[in-house]
Amino acid sequence: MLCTIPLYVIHEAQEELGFIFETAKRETKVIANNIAINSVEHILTRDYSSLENLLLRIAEFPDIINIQVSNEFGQVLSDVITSKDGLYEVQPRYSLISIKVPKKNSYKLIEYDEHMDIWTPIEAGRHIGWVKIKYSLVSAKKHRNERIKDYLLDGAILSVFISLFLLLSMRRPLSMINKAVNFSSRLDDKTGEQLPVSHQSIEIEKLFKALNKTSLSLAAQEATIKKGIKDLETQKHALDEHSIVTITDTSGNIKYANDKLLKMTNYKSEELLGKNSSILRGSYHTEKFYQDVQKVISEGKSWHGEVVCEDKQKKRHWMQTTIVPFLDDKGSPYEYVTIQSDISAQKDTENLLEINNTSLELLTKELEDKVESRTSDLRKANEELSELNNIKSEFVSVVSHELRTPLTSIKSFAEILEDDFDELDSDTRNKYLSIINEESVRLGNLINDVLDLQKMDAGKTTWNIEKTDLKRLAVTTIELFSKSYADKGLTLNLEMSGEDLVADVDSDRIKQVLTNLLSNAYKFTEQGSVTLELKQVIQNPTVLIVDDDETCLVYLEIFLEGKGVKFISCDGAKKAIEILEDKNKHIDLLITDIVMPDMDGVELISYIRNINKKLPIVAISSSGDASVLKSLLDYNISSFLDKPFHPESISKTLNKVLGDTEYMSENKQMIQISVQDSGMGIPESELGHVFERFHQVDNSETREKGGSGLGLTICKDIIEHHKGKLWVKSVVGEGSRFIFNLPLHM
Amino acid sequence: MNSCSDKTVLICDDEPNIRESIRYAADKEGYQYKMVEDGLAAYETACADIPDLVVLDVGMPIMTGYEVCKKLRQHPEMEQTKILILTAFGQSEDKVKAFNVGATDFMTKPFSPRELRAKLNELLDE
Repeated sequence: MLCTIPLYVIHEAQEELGFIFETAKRETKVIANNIAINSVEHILTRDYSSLENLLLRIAEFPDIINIQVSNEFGQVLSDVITSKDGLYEVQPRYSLISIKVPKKNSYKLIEYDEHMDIWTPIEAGRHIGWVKIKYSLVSAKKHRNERIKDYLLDGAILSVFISLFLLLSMRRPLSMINKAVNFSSRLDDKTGEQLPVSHQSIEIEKLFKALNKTSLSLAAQEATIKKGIKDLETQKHALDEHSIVTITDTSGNIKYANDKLLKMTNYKSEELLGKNSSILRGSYHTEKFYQDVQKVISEGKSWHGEVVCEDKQKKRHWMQTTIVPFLDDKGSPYEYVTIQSDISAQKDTENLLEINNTSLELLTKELEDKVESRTSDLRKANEELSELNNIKSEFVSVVSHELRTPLTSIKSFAEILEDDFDELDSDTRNKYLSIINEESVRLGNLINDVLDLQKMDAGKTTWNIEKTDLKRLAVTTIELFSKSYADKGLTLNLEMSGEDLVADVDSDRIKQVLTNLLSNAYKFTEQGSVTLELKQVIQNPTVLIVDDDETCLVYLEIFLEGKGVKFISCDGAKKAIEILEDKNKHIDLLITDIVMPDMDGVELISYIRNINKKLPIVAISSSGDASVLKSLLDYNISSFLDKPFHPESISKTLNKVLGDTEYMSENKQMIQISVQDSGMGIPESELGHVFERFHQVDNSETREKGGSGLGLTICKDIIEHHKGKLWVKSVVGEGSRFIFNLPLHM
Repeated sequence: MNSCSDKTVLICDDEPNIRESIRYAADKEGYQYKMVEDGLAAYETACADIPDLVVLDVGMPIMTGYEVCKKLRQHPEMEQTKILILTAFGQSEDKVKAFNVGATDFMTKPFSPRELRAKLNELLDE
């Protein structure tokens, strides 16, 4: 038994050391936390002097050798070393000394032989630094070794007396131990209380001393904690006053919600506590957004950002949000503190600003577009102007050339007559004088034409539009040419069909066109005839073809299709009447066979004439039955078409009724006037150019005909001013045909 | 009429009246002359006759005076033939063009018959 005593003592001493170590660790951790909390402000404000004062105060705790506060990179901000004589040495502030800091951002304890290092991170929403406390284990170890030595040396003697001593002295130590136990049980609420240490046995004394030390240390801790709690409460109050604060557990369940949150969300406290924070989420963000946030905070890092929350009325609030995870000793979060500010108003302003910006951008874009399009318009106008300018200068150049030609003759012969008047015989004199006269007229006409064209181009021509009987106009114009045509041995015909050909035109201008065309025809026709034809034509006609013979129908259909004329065909007179009476179908021309089984053509025509006196009708006659044809004449038939068909005869017949169909206008009713000559004709390559200024078909024959080269250009301008169309068809060696259409009304 | 010369002039112009006025000048100075109405006839006649002087209008049918002049200059027998270009286009670039195609001289329309006669003599008398 006695042998076991030293072992027991050693065991006890070890246990005691363990106890002391644990106490020291706890104590140091609390101190370190305290420093971590209290140093935040100093670090953030860089008030290293206050930081130093804080460390000096703390350094008074026994067994603390060194306290270092560093930033998150390990650069030492303050460093207090306790020397053996109890003086504190302060290292240069914010020295360039760097210490190696733990990798993981959490509490850390490293034990060495003679001391232990305790690291505590300093947090202010983020990790801003480290507290490192170096705690000496020397006194604790020394204490244990002395114990073991004492007992080992005195063990033998003690063993002898132990039995007696036990008997005698056990009662008192036991009561002392009881006392100590009672004392320790009171430490919970009576920290700082001390046990009387004197007059006790060594072990009891040591026990008592240890207990006293614990009590003191607890007192110090409690003071620190109280202050810490008080500070925290102040901070919490400040935070609650300023921000919306929510605390959730790791699953997101709400553990705490401050008044500001309740006020904003219109929830009651009991409606939120214990509920998952997703109740406030709404639908603005995606699930991924929350997953990303969760990922950051679950790793122990703080999250900052803007979050949209929905209140009880589903109204959205923009929240400037910081979520700080609270970490346990292992560095794992055990709860999250969310600090928020409602920035909806700011956000609204931002949105408004953004909308304004967007509309401003749009306006700017619009403006830019406008400027660009305007610039492009101007550029185009400029190009057109420059092109016009080119045309104009080319025109001037051509005009000057054209003016010089008659002028050359005039000048030449005037000079010749002046110089050699007496030498010349009278015939030559007369010849030269008449050249001067002709060329003067030519020059005058040319000048007139140029001015005329110029005036028309500039829109300065005065137009005298009035109802004009074109038949009368044609007759009076023809009369002007009859003599010259007859002199040249040419026949001049006038063909007019239709009742009256009256249109709204400028009669002088139309007369100018007719004169020009007739004069051209005169110039370019050496023999044969010239025909001026006037007729009323139907534009864009719809033709109804009636024939019981399918081959004939198909033949006519193909022919009309080739001409671009619309048509409806049917195989009997009764069907034809149906179509003619259909108000949706407007028929402009009827081509009908005479001999048909159900109802013959004569009957059909007589029926139609009862309802429509004016519809142009072409009758197809095969037999040449004179009596039938004679009976038809009473019905004002436009023309007859002989069977079997010949393309040329169909063409001629239809042309008589429909006119030349190359150019069809919107107007249904047009007057078509044409001048057909039997002259040299115009080569195909020239046809497209005859209306160009100063263009004359390039051969010496045309040159001899004179003319300004502007006549047809002027004619075309005049007809187009009347909303009509002038064009030409020609076959070399056979003749040319100038045709123009005029609408009845402009 | 002046004394007869054996020098020949080919007159090319599509305007009959101008042709007549040139003919009058050539005739009055006693030169032999021929008249044609278009560029092609001018070239063909010149090649056949090898005249001493060709009076060329510019704006002629089929071939212009410039084209005729250029072609005539390529003819081996017409390197020394005088060519007078007469044109109603009187800009300096027209003159340059005339000399570029090998014209000996240049006159603008309207011209004075006196001046033309002097020019004919200058070109043919050496």
